[in-house]
Amino acid sequence: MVSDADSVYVQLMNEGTTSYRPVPFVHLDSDIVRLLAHPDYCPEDEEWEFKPNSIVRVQWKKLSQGDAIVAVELIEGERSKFRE
Amino acid sequence: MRVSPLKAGHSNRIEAGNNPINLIDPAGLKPGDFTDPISNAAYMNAGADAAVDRGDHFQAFLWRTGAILPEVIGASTAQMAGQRNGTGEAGLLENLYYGFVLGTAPFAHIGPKVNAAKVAAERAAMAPNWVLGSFKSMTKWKNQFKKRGWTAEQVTEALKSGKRCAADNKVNPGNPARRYTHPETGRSLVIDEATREILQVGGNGFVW
Repeated sequence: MVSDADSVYVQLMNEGTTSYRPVPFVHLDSDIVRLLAHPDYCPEDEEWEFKPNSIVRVQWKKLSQGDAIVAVELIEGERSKFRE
Repeated sequence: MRVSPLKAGHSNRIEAGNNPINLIDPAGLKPGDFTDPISNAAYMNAGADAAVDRGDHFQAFLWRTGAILPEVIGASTAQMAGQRNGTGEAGLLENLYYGFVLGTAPFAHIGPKVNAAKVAAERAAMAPNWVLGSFKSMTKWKNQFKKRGWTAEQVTEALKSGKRCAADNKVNPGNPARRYTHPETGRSLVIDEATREILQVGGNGFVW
C-alpha cells in the first residue's frame, strides 16, 4: 500500500550514476502522490527528476534495497529539465 | 633517450608560488587552502588538466599526486619537485614519474637509487587515489559532501575498505564504475575506475 510507505523514491539527475533518494509525500489517490521537499532541499545542489510539490504517479520497482515505491510519471507540476 | 621536462628548461614551479607541492594554484593567482580537501582536489584537478593541455604530463603528474605523496613517503618539497643538485641527481618524484608513469627510470643510473620494493609499497599506500568528477561544479561537490555527510577522509576509507559492487557510469559510459559503501556510515559512493573520478557521494537512504 502506497499510503503505508514512509517515503517514495525519486531519481536524481546528473549524479553520474543511477540513484534514487527517499522523498516525503502526501498520498492523494491509489497510485498518485504529491512530492514534498526536504527542509534543506536546494535545486542547485541536487536535481530531482520530479520537483517538490509535483503530483506524480508511482509504482513499485525493485531497487538495491528491495522493492520500493518510485515516482515514474508526472501528473501535475514540474519535471527536471535535465534528462539523462 | 627521453628528455626530461625539467631539463628541457620548462619551469615546473611557475604556479603556486613556485611550490606546486605544498601550495595549490593552477590559475596562477594565489596559493590555495591546503587544509580544505575539496577545494584542494579541485585545484589539483584544474592544475593537472591545464598541464595536460600544455602537453606537460610531468607537471600534470605533480598536480595529481602532490597532495598525498609528501605524506606517504615523507620526502622534502625539493625532492618531491624533482629538484636537482649539482651532480645532476634526479629528484625522487621525477624518478617515480618515469618509473611509474612511463614505465622506465632513465635517471636511475645517475640519481638516487629507487628501492623497488619500497616504491611498490609506497605506491600501494597511495592507492586508491581519487579526484572529484569535473562534471559537477566545485560548489555542488562541496554542498553535496556537506549535506550528504561525507568527508574526503571517508571517501578514501570507503575506497580502501568499503564493500563494493558494480555501478553504471553515465559520464563515461564506456568506463567501468564501482560503488563502494563506507564500512561505518553505510553511505556509498561511485567512482569511475578508469579515470578515478568520483561520480557520486550518496546520502542516507539513497538506493540505486
